[in-house]
Amino acid sequence: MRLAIDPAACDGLGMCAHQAPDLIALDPWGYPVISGDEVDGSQADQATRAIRACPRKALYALPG
Amino acid sequence: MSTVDVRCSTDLDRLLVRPLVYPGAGCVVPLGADAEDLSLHRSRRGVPMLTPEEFAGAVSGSELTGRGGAHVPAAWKLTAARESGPGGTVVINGAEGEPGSAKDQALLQTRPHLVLEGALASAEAIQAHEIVVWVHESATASRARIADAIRERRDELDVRVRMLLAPEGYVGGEASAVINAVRGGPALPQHSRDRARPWGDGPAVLVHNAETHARLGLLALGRNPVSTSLLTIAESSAPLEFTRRTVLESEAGMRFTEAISAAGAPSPQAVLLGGMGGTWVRWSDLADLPIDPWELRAHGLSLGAGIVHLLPHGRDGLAESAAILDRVAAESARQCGPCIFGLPALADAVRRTARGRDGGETLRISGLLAGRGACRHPDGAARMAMSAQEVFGS
Repeated sequence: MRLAIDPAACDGLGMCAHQAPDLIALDPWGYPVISGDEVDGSQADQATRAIRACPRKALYALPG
Repeated sequence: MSTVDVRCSTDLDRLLVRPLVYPGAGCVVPLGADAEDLSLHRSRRGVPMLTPEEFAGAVSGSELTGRGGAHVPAAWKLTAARESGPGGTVVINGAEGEPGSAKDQALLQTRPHLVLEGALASAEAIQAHEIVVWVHESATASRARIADAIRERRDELDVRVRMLLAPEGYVGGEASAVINAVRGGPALPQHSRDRARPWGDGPAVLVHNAETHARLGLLALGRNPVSTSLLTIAESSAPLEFTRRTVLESEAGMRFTEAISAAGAPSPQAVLLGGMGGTWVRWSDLADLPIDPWELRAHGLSLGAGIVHLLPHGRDGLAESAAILDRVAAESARQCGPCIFGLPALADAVRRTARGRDGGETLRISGLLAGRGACRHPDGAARMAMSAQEVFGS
C-alpha cells in the first residue's frame, strides 16, 4: 500500500507523524509530508496506526 | 437557396476572425466585436452532423487538450465520463480566475453558439441530463450573451441548460470546485481519491472551459479543433494592473514576436507565460518560438490558459513576482495548510530576493508546495517562483 493525504481535510494536528515517524515528516507549518512510495512491509504497522490516529480521517491508504 | 458565406477551409477552423481588445480590467464587449448570433453562426459554420458515437470517436482521435490551463486530454475526460453512465452534467466553465485572461469572456460574448455546440455534443455523447454554464456574477456582458444564445435555441434543446453563478476569485473556477458547486456544495476545490473520476461515484460532471467547448464545437462541425491557439496578450502599468488585454488567435507557425506585434504591444523584457501560475521566460528566449503547445512542451513551457503577461523594460521581475504571489496567496481557498501558510511565506521569500537576499529560501519553500494541495494552486505558485528566481535572480 501507499499512504495518501486529503490536504483539504488535514488540519496539521501532527498525530500521524507521531505514530509513523519513519514514514511521515512535518513541514515548517506542521503539515505532513509523505513520499508516496510503496510502504515497506516492516513499516505497515506504523502506517496503519497513523491512519487510525488521524482525527480528521485525512490520511488514508491507496492499494498497490 | 440561401447565400452561404464562402470562406477558405482554414477560416472555418478558427474561433475568432479578428483580435479583440479589452481596455482596462473590465470585461464589457469590445466595440465592433464580431459577435455570432444563431443565424450567423449557422450560415458561417453549418450544423453538426456527427452522431454521438462519431463525435466520441473524433474526440478520441484528436489531440485536443483542456485550454483552462491544465491541458488534460479531452479524450481522456470524455472516456471516463462515458464510463460513468447516463444522467451526468456537462459544465461550460467560463469563470476565468486569471486576472490577465480574457479569452473565455471573448468566446462567451462573441461565439456563444460555438461554445454551446461543443457542450451539446458532449452532453449527447455522455447522455447528460443537463448543461451548466458556470460564470462569475460580475461577468454581466458574458452572462447576457450566453443567456441570449440559450433563448435562441430554446425550441430545439432537448437537454436542460442552466446558468450558475460562480463566486469571484481564482479557485472558484478550478474544476473540482465547479463539481462541488454543481452538486449544491460550496465552490471550493476538493481532494479526489481517484484522479480519473474527479466527480467520484455516479454520473459524471464533465467540466471544460469555454475555449475547450468551442474547440469541441469545431470538432462536432467536422473542423480541425487544434489548428490555432487563443492567447491573451496582457499589458499592465504595474503588477496585475492591466491596461490592455488583447485576445488573439495564433495561426499555425506564428511566433511570439509576431503575436506581440499583432497586438500592437512593445517588446517586453520577459513574459510570464500561462498567467499567475505560469513560467517566466526571457523575451530573448521566447520571441522566436512558435506558438505551438507541442513545440513549447519541448522547451519545458506551457501556454497554460493562454496568458502572455508582458513585463515591460524598467520593471523589477522579482518585485513583480512577489506582488503576484501576494495575490495568489490572497486567492487561496484557505483549506490546505501548505497553501494557507506556504504561499505567504513564498511571497515573502521572493520579496527578500528582490531586496538582495539569495534565492535559497525561494527554492526551498517552492519544493515544499508542489502536489500538496487539494488543487494545483500551490503548484502553480511554486513553478512561477522558481522560474522568477531562474530568470531574474542574480
